[in-house]
Amino acid sequence: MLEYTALTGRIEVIRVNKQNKHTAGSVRQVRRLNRQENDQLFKHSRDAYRDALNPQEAWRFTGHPFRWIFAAIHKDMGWFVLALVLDLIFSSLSMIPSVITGKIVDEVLDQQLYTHLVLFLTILVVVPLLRGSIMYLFRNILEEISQRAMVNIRNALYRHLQNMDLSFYSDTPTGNLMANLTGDVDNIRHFVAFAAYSTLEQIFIFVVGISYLLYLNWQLALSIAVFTPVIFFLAWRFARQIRPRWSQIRRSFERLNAVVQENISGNRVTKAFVRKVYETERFERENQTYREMNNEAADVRSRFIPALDGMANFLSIPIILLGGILVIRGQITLGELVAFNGLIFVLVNPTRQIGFRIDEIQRFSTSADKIIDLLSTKTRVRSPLPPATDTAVPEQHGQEAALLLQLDQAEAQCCAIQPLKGEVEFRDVSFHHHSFTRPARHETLDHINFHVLPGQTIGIMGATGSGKTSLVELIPRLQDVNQGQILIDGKDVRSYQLQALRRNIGVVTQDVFLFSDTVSSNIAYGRPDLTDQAVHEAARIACADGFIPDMEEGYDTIIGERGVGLSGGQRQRISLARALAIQPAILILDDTTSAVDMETDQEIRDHLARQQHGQTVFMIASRISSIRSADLILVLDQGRIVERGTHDELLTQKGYYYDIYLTQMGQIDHTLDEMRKAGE
Amino acid sequence: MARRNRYDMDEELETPFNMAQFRRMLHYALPYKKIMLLVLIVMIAASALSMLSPYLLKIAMDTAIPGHDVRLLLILAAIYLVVVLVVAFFTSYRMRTMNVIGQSIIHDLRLDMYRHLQRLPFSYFDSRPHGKILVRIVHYVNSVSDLLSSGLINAVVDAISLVIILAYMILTDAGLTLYGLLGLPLLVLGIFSLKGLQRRARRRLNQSSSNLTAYVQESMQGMTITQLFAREAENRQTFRELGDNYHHRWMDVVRLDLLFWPMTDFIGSVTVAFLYGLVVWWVRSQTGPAVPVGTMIAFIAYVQRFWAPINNLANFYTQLLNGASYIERIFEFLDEPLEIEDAPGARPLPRIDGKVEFCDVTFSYEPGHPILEHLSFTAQAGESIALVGPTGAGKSTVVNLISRFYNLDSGKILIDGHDISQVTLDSLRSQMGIMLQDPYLFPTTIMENIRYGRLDATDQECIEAARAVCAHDFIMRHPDGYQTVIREHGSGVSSGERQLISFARVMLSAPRILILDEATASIDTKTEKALQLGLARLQKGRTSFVIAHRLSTIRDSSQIFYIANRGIAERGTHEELLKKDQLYAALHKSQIFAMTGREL
Repeated sequence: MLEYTALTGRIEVIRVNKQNKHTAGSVRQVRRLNRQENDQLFKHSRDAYRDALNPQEAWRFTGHPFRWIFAAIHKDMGWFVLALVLDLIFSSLSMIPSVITGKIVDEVLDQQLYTHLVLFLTILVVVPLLRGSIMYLFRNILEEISQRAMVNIRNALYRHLQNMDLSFYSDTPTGNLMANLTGDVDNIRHFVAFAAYSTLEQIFIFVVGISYLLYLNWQLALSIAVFTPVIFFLAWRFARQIRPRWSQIRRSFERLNAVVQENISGNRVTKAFVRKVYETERFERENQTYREMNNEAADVRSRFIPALDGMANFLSIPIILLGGILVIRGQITLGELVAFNGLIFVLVNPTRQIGFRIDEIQRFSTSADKIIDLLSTKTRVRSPLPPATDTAVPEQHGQEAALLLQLDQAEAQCCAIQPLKGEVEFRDVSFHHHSFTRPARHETLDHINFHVLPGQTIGIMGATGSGKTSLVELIPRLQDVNQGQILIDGKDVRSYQLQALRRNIGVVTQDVFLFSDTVSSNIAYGRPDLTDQAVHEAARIACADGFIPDMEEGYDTIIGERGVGLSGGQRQRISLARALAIQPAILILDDTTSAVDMETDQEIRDHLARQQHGQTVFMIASRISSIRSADLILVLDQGRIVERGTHDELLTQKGYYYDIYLTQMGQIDHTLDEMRKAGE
Repeated sequence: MARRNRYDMDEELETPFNMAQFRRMLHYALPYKKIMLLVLIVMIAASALSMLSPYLLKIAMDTAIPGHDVRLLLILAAIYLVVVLVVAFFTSYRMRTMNVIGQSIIHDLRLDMYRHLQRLPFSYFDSRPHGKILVRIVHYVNSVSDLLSSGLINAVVDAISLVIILAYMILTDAGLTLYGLLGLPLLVLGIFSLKGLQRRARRRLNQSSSNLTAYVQESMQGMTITQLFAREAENRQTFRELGDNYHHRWMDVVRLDLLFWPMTDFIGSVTVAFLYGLVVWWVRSQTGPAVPVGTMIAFIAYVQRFWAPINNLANFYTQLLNGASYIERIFEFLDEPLEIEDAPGARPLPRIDGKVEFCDVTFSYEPGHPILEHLSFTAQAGESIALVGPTGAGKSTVVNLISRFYNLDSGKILIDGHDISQVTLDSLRSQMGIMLQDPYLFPTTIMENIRYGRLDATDQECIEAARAVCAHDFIMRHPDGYQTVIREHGSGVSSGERQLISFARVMLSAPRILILDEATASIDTKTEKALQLGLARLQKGRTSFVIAHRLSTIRDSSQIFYIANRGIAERGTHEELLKKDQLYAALHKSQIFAMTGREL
């Protein structure tokens, strides 16, 4: 566990380091350290291979992509070996027709042994049938294994990513994770399905083919073998030169993608500022770079591939010239020359392909390393005890799908709602955002203390950036405190099962995210089994029942990403309904009604007050009207509570809150006067 | 409005091949037609030359070797060497040139699409997942380019190759030619019966793959919400199902794909075996023509080379059908109506004073459901207009119409007497400063985001703009100050700060008309108070339209419009409306009650 923590820290440095290069050496350091520690382990215990996809154990495979992938397909290893054996049979069969052709020429046509013909023709028909079937069989096996491996790896990654904390997601662009889950996983699949066997096959064909040629006639074989190092060298140079080009193309494509994505997301801004020309120029730069990168790669390819093909064709020259002379001298038969000619083509292919295989294997190991690193990255926020099954079912290891399913069930059991009462206490809580890119200069929250009884409402006020959102994010453990503790119902939040805790807390975030699904599925997000009635009730309390039925298909209308197509106020109300639908003991409203008009805001508060059955409410707001009736109001400034009390108490303190009150009341006092005057 | 799209809704990619669209696509290749013609000639030459090798071998085996003619062998080897070099050179030229052309086509097509994208209305962006727009511009184009450049040329070359091989066969041994082609009908039949299945399987795989990708993307973006609602297990289940589905679709495709090689191999081998049998039978029975060994070997080499182009052509056919669906999507995108365009003969709007008139404006998002009906008002230059009223009544719509983000059903909007539908969009919008409740910031530094307001602004000017809207202090509180990078998940920069940065951005652009659409909603009162000063500075001498729920932003407005029932239900100054004691006054009362807990 200790090495693990050390690793964790560094792995994250590495992840962040892609932008900040100053500690770049540490990847290798960590990997070397791990390798040394683990080599012992792997030597002594076969058990070590079982847990390739278990995030708790994945770190053991740091820097060992091959060990890792074979551990990941551990269960299918028998099939994998069978497929490889079939492949070798297939390759051997591929060499037979050329030999038979030679024999037909010599024995049938030359020596007129017609009785042999039937046998030869039968072989010529049966061998393709056989090798076709074998090829079909083993390729299918490999594809199946690789697909299973991909599904298991992806499921494990997905599950792991679901456990990562907020700071991980703030530091990692979605695009990177997408690349891991699609591109990297696919490189691994390609290795299992193709690159692995194909490399083996090509080495095999090369060795056997050359041996047979040497056996037939060593002079002719040597005259050809002389060229193979050249082909091999060319192929290797090609792989080396093309590789950086591919990654350039990929990066350029990513940038192009990013520019278009930003442009689409920011379409309102670009239109409002009339930045058509600027945006097009920005795009055109990437568009052109992408073209140039592709052309550069094509340049490399157009230099090497024709040369490689030319070299391969070149091999026919010794056949014609030297082979011809040898036949004339009677040192080989015409049939042997024919067999030679046929075998050359079987042989040349592997040499030409070897460059691509080297490239694919390199790509595989880079991708596998990335996946291992990602799996080894630890979340800072996790449940106190691993679910019971983590240690209890060793016999299930290796059967990832079954194991994961079992974990799910265990989780579902331990997370069955244990209703909380909603008492919340902050004890000397300090917190700063954890980020390797931006070292915190000061605490985001500084020695926060307060105590809330079940059913109370807490109002939180403070200037922009004073730490309001960070404070409430600590309650459902989106982040963990750096110092002090948060108690719910008298127990440290870190002692609850994470999901059980969160099922008791309804959060409405400032930045509304809705899923592209129906309105009712969005509201029932936390409780997919919710009845329509309950969905409507939640919508009613959130004052969303006014506009939803007016939408195209009412509750069945599909809303877009980020709730596109809805107004800000409508999105906020759907998001509120979503939080209310889980009937939480603690409700957190982070500036929930900022885009809702005052009357609706008031109505929502009335509804909330009426349905509050002992619900503890945290309410961040900038309007005095929203939090006036709270049981406790906290005023934050630069991470500290500077004022606390009820509305009336705070007014008497004549501090920040009073100032705000005056500002907001100022106009109202003014208005009151006017109204009185108007009334008179 | 188009029906919205969900991750598991397939984009139907089944389209019959459409010649008209294909021809339209060919237009993109037209600028390169001369060079493509040259490449074609080069490739045909290369193909004809590379087919020479079995023939050379035949001469060696039939003439040189039996005649013990080493000199002829040397000549043949020399010819062959030249052929190899020329072919390598031609191939190199072809690869480089075709790639340049292909990439240029992608580049041109993508640029056209991107330009079109810049002009599409909001409704286009609002009605579908952004991922699906992205995929058209970035990914589909790549899929089509191969078809246009190398695919097309290769197909022509393959077709010609068939003729060349046939010619060589006849040249080698005319008598055997017919027998060599016996397997052909069988192969063609096999290929085309499999192709149909293969195409359908591939389509299902593509759909499965795009569903999976869409789901992963959304999962990653909404992860915090998923965690907060403890919904991990359900999502994992969905993800697992999508992954399993992909697995099965993949295997469906593989099972078909893997059939092609053994099939071709088998038919080819049977043909070859048949030819050997035939030749030997001819020799033995002395009935047929005498076929020398070299001729037979060369002929069989040609027969074997015959299969590859046929397979390639079949692949091209599939590619063409697959490509057809992409081409369809691409043109569907390019044909997407712009709705809002410069009118013919539109003139640029001169620098305006800012008088805005709505004359009998009617507008609807969906035909038959007007949001605004017969709306008329006049805002004098320099006035500040506040829009209040219930959510969804059309306040945002009114301000969006001023920038002509939508076209009117009827009526006119005049700015300084110019009908906005008759001036260029650029000249109109560049004089507007629009601030939204949920402003989009680009994932770059704060400085660059502010500079977006005026691209040639110096750092100093950006900082001044930030100071003017009271954003400076907040920005400086970040360790990296103006160099703080805005991240997509937005941690570290709060909604209020985002709004302030977008304020600075607008401040820098020095617009003539200001539009604030709930732009101060997330800013706390204390900051807002300071901001009022900056805003007052900004509003001075400019016409402004303000949508806000807070009295502070509304009270001092020159006019207040209460928007309800598809029009202005009440208008007047704060005092006038209070005196009237109807809608606005009621709104007011409820706010006062909320603040003080006292009824008036």
